[in-house]
Amino acid sequence: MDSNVIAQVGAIQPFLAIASAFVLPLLSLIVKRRTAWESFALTIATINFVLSILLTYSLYTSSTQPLVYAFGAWPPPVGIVYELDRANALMGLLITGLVLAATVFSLRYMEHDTGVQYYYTLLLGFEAGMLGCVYTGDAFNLFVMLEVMSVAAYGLVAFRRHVPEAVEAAVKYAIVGSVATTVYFIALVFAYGAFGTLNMADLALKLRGSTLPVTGLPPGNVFLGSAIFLALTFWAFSLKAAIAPNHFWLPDAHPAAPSPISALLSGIMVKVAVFALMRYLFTIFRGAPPAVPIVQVLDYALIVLGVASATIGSALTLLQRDIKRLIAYGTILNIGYIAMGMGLGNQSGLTAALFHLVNHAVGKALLFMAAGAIIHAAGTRDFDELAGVGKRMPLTSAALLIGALALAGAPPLNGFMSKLWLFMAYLETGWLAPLVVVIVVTSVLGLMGYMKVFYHVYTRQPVKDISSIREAPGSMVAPLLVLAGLCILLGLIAPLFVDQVISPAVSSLFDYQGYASAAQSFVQAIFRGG
Amino acid sequence: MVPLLVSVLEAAFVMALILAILLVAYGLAIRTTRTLTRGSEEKRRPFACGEALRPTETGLPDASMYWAVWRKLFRSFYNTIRDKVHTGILSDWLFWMFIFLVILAIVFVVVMA
Repeated sequence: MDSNVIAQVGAIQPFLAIASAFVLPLLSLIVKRRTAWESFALTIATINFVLSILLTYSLYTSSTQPLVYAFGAWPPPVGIVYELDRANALMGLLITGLVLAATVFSLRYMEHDTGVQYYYTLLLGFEAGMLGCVYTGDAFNLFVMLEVMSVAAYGLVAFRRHVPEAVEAAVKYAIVGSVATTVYFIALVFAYGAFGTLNMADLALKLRGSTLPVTGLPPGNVFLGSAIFLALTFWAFSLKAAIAPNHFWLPDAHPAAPSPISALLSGIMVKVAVFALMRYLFTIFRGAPPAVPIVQVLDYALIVLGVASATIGSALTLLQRDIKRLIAYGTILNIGYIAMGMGLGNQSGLTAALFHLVNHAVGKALLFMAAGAIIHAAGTRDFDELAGVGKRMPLTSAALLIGALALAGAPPLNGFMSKLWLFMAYLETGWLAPLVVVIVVTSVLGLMGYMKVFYHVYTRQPVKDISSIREAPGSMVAPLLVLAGLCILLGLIAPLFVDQVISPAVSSLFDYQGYASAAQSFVQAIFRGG
Repeated sequence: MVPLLVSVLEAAFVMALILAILLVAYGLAIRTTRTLTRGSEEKRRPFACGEALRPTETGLPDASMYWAVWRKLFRSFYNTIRDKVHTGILSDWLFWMFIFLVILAIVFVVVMA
């Protein structure tokens, strides 16, 4: 396939999602049938997933260099560009796949709710924001798409506005989230003042003494600008990614949302922030002479904060009596592992981090949706009241068990394999090797926490009459089984998956030259009239 | 990578085998206990200092009993981390986040100096 067409396939995805988000409320004024709104959202989610498969397949099989798409044909660094490589194509596939699973799950899960046209509107906006964040090659456009994603997320958390807890969680989340995006905006002001550009490829080039046309040499102090920009950006994205001590909002916000949304918030939204950090730390700033000491400090910060996240997350999972809150604390634990992998700053650390990112996205989405199916049937989130409910829902319970074991790190499931990669990456480092103790101890605590879910839901004797509870409907069980199958498959084919999928994505993240030269070639082609 | 996968599968098989043995032992233990207590309701009633209590009076949810040992062992840690840090109050959260930002700023100033 022609590289221009592949780039357009990527660029059309966020546009399709956001345009559909505007169309759906208008459609709901004309067509009053709920099934029509659901079919519309499902169709868009399916199209985006198919486009993502096409994009990922094309980038992995035919294109070695990132592809550039310029909006309105304005070349970088003047116009906004999407720069598509294997790493963000993989993220796009995860996003669209999980959004599709959540949409299918929502069909029956949201059956008792009113105003679902706005639910799907926000869901499509959410997908557009996440895709825009990972595809963009422009630091300011990242801010815009971050806001699109965040505003949709605040709305989705507060969707059940008759529940006071949901409204409170959404307000707190919105305040904290707005602080993060504001801090990122301030960081952009410093970056623009120092570099005179916000195009990511141009930033990478200017850090290394080169430049794209038009913006010229950096007008400010690159070292100072890099330091302030990276410090503020790191803080803002650590908040969005719920890395301790910026994690407080997550255990309140994620459980308050409808379960398919909790699956997306914990499964993929926090990873979008992690991916943005990966893009800045590994592709743009790493290896650039003025940024070397700054990136080194941030590497250590990631390790320290990763250890703190893993410790806090694992310890607090044990205290929870709310099934969704427990799973939400598990996200903080696993984000800690991802941060620890990134903090190593090398190929093996980033491979472990990216592999665990994928595995946790799949496992956490599975766990939240399985918990959602149980909550949908039992009408409660409290462990004491959920006792024994799982016995009436064997397929959902099986999926719940697989998700819990995968995230707890039981072999040969996917979570175990990525923890093994992280373990080996730390052993390779020498002086940081003792930190494997943290991985082992927090994994044991995580296992205890996740098994607590299964113990209460399945093993305990019921405390009330559960004879009316039935297995979840097919449209809710199907995504669970697919995700459970993925947890097993990704574990069994882990070496092959890492070799064929994760490693090329990691190479893309390290390849600043490829990233910058793709933009340079694009500009030169436009100047030549191509 | 294939030997690694084989090792992992071996470990998984051994763990599954141990789990199966434990489950069988657990099942046998339950069966034996049931035989011993058959016909008696006494064991099912909660007691406090010899006085029979209604389940609602015990004030100890099953969830707490399951993790009581762990929680007791790390009580001071949990008291600090839950009651002083994870308060659920927005201004408390922002305080800790601001402290983190200040520490980050100090570290960067030191590095730049």
